[in-house]
Amino acid sequence: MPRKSNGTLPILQKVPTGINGLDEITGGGLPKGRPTLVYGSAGSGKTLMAIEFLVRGVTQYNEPGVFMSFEETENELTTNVGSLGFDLKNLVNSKKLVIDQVVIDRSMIEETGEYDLEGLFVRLNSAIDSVKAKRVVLDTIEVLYAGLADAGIVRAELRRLFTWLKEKGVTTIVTGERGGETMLTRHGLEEYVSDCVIFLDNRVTDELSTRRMRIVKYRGSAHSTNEFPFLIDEDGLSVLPVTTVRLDYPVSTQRIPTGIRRLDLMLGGKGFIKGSAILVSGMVGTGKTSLAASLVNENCRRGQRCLYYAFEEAPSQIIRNMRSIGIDLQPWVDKGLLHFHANRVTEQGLEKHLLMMQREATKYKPDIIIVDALTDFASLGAFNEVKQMILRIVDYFKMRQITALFTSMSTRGDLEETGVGLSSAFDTWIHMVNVQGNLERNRTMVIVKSRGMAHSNQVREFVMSDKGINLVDIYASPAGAFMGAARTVQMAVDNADDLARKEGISARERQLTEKRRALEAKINALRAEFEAEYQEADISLRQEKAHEKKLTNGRAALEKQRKAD
Amino acid sequence: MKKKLLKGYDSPQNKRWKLRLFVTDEAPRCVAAYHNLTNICKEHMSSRCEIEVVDILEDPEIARREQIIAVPTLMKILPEPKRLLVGDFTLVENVLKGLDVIPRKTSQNTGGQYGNRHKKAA
Repeated sequence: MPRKSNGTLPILQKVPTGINGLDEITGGGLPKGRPTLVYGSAGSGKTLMAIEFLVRGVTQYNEPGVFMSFEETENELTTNVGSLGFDLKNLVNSKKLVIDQVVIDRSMIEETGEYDLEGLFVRLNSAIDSVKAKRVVLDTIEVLYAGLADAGIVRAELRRLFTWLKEKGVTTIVTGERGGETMLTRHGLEEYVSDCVIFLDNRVTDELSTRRMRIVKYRGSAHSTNEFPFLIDEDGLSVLPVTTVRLDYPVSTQRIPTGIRRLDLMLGGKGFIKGSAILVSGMVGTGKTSLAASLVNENCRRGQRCLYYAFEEAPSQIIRNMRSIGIDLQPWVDKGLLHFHANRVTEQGLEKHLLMMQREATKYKPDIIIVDALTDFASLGAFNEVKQMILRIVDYFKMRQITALFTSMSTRGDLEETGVGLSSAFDTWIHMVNVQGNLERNRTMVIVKSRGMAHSNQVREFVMSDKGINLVDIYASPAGAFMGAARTVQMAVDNADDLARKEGISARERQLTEKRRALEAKINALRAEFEAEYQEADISLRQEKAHEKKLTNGRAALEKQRKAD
Repeated sequence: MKKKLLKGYDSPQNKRWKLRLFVTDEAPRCVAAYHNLTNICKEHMSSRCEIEVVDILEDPEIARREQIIAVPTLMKILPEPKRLLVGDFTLVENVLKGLDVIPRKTSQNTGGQYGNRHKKAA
């Protein structure tokens, strides 16, 4: 490859399209000054993508454009893209965009010999020059094959046209219909446009359609060959750069209070970690949504922005329900701190949801996101697909340091089934179980895991009242663990027992004291008896000793009298 | 814009042709086409033709307005119906059909037939 004088390889220059996500997957946009082929079947979004390329060019990069339409009239185009917020009329009036509609009616044309398509060149050239266009769209130039009988001439002229466009230095999008087995496009446009080829697809699986995009070819540029889901809505096209999600997101040590003081205490004293992913699992009616609402309420109060994806209940219903436990979310909605996004999961496919969630997150820039409930997605695809998508969305939020709380509904109480096999994706996992017994159900809560903090391993009772949520210690007594009404009953029983026991103890104590007193009296009596006995014995002993002495003295005196020798 | 009137336009006969030829400057094919056309006009139409020659390079707007893509293109304005003839008028039969000098059969088919011939030539 020839090297430039500065010793570096020539780098392919790219033109940013301005289309959400497309520039990411193409590594900067379309090849500058070269044609790009965008092909797909009818209704795959080719024209829309091409128009957005032009509109974004004008509005974001100050690059005027020319749209040469072979199919739709200017009015049709203006109306069609008006719903996407693109005001073509305004762009045309302000001399930033030229729309030239080419009409070829074969029934009106008689071919009488050799010709060329110089008319097309002249029109295109004058349109480009009139607004100093940098971007051109030809949609769909294949119509020429249908309008003109001489395919040989059309082929030769198209080749000339693309060469001419390159010389002109305009970045062009050429759209084409998807071809059959051997060709990408119906008339082999890929033969002339070899720099960049993008395929658009609209596939329907399980009655849900998903648009996908694939970069078939990008000469001189590294590109992903993966299929990327994309979305067309009121903001135009959004491509989801799924594979750009990596495990190198920033981590934080900042903490997010949960709004439940005892829960904060259980979570190392401070609550969740900012930017972490939290899973709250549990069966129906265990208080998952209430926990989420508490988190939202507390953090809106602190001026944080929250985004709530409600897949099960309408926002108004959530707000009403939460009022019953003393949480009023309405003021936050009014202040614009809390935004609800509610729709039924089954309305659209997995990718569409993923895209929609990402787009909303980009739009509202929330600090906290609630996904209620994650389990609803399980119905949308195979286990692996759902898992992949959830991992993507979790990673996406983590990358943007958004604290995300996902609720997950389980049909059984055990842990294995509740995590959708995804527990590794979550930093904190709170599991909630309803315990039934003694004719009542009680909510309990335990922190299964919580990365990066010392957390409590205790099961707590989750008590909701009109004053809010509180966590209460489970009442443990020798007779077992008790909560709810049973706690009250057991505590009363235990209290009574205590009293009785205490009374028993004092009675025995009294007895013992008495006994001790009696014993001590006895000891004293014995000691007195002994003392008397001792004194008596002492007297008689002394008398004996005196007598003995007298006897000895008498014997000595007698011997002295006998003059013994 | 050049305007050329052919001799015989004021002929007393009823049938007259009002034609507009779109060209790009003096491109060889356009010059040849003009000659071919005038010859056909003389031979087959008793010179009862008014031919206006329009250079689309001078006025690209007219190419847009009149939906011209091929060059040369001849627009038959009169007699009705309006029709476009593309090419250099070497296929005389097609020209005569296109100008309604001789009756048209299934024009689409003939177009295809000649198209094939051109492909080989190209």
